[in-house]
Amino acid sequence: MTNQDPPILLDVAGLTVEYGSGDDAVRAVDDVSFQLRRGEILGVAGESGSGKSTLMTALTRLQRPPARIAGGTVTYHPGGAEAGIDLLAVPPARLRELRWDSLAVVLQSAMAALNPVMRLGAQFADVIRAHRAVGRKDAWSRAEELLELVGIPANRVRSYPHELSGGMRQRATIALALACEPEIIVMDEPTTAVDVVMQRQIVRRLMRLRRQFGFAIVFVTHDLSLLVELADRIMVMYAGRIVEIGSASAIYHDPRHPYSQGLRDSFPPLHGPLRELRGIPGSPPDLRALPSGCAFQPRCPKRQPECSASRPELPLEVEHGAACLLQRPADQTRLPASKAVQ
Amino acid sequence: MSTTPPATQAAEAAETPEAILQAVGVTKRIPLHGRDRGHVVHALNGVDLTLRRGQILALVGESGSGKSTLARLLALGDVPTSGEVQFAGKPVRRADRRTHFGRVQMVLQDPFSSLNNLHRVRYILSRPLRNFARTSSAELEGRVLELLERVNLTPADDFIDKYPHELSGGQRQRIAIARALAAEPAVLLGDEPVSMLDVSIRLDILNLLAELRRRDGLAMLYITHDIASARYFADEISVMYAGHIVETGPVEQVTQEPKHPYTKLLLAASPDPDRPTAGSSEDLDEEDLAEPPNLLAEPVGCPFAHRCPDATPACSTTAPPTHTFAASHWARCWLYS
Repeated sequence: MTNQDPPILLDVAGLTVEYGSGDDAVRAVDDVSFQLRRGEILGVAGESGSGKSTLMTALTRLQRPPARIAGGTVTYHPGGAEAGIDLLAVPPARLRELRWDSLAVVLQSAMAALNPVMRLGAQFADVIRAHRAVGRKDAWSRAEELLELVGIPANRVRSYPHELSGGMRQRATIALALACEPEIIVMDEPTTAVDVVMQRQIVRRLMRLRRQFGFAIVFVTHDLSLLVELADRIMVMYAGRIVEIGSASAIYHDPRHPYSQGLRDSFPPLHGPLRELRGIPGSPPDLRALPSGCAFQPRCPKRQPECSASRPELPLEVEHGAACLLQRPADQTRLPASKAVQ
Repeated sequence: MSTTPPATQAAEAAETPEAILQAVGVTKRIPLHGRDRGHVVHALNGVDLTLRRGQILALVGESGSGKSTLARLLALGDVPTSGEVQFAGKPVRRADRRTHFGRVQMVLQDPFSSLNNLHRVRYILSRPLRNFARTSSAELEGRVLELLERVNLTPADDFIDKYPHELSGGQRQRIAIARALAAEPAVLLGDEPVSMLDVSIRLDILNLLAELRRRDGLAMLYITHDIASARYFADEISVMYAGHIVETGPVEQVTQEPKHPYTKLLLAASPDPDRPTAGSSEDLDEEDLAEPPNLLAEPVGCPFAHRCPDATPACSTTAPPTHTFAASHWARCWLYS
């Protein structure tokens, strides 16, 4: 155990993403700031419409019109170095170099992420040869190695995506993300389309690979109980904003935002005593007509009169904090000067 | 036709509510076309399942295990290759479809595609009222409002003239439940009724279904792959694997003392933040499983044999016997004989 924090790889500050422009603009991600450290798994939890997928596409600059980045910076520090690159400002050619090489993505639908009319090996070779000076044969044998890394037999390199099972396809996209040994992998619901047994295997494999290669992961899902097992830190999003951020065990054992509490209590326990659970009354807000003040107040069991008057901010520079008026500054856990994330 | 259900006899030993809807030795083979012509998918193999008045049975298993096929057969949306579906002890046939539809209703997974977007709630709910509950035009509006109130869409007047696209996912699923209730069924078949909904509203819907069961004595089948929600919501669990039911029993027994190796695997794979070994290196170094079963091959022996950590040579050649542990808890596995 070192006494020092792993260096920061990704520094997101005030990121705002809107759909459309002018008065009709819908703010899907609103003033989001967080940091990702080397080798860390950062979980992003939220419901549909919370902005978690929009955030992922913005981080990697994969957003498409009408989505547009309205503000903020995403600074990538290669190898944790002091000097950073603003991913939102780099020219497209440089961005192409960084993608796959430093920053890779795994998307929810593996079938849509793979080209249906290309053999797996050819798709891997495409990626590898765009970033490394290797011949076709070497690229294909690298593809075989990568597939074996995720538990797919090497001879499958000649298969087309439709010849693989759903779990295999998802693992193939993970192998593809590893092709150039990136430092950061962004995963948007990578296990939602597979069943629990396969989900467990994929997660386990991912953790093993992280131990081996030391990449950092931003893992987006709506399944908070999965995140608690998998992630080092978790941020909970609601209506485009981070409402709580903290270590996985803090979010599970001591959630401070009423929404995180509700979300945690929406998962019935597998063992231990059963009691009646209520979920969260109401439904997620319409981003076009957000309630005044705190976006969660209409559904909040602990609502105070002030909640509709002012919007609580997420305290910066804290290890565990929630954007809630009920949280007095003293309740927020300060980040100790030298605290190892893992 | 006189068939004695082999597995259900043990279950009837204790004083249990009467059986309403049963699958008795149901087998379904689905022939393939095109390039795979001549092959059949062995979707269900000798399945026995009993739904009882006022009870909720959860059916869990991985994708492709035959859960939805079984629900479709129970709803008479399709006919079994062999075996039969019985309602109140009498076999139901294709000819009884109309009466059967009035007694057995389904709630489907995706409320965004199960409701016709071109019709208002009023129309969607009045069709089954006219067709099955024989409601006259004069009573219709009152009955629709009553249905909306039963699924907690209040004030009902606000919802009756809405189109589905004006409703949220949770509200749509309530409409789908109200539509199923309109026929005054004795059995509700829920095919993953909450898995498309946001996590924060899933419990709302499950609590609503539990309330309906308590108040109206409905029998329910709850198909899911989320075993934790099955534990929360159901009375009994049946675990399905490759078209076979491998274990059935009361929820607490199946989830806390699973007997079949596949049930153990499912429980071990489900996310559980309280698990002591989560994330530890011994957990990470666990071996991966073999690939899912091939449903095209004729089932021989135990369907789980090639992935089972406890498999013996006998497992892949001879079908395992049914072993009963306590009243109504049984598993099909060679480990116990």
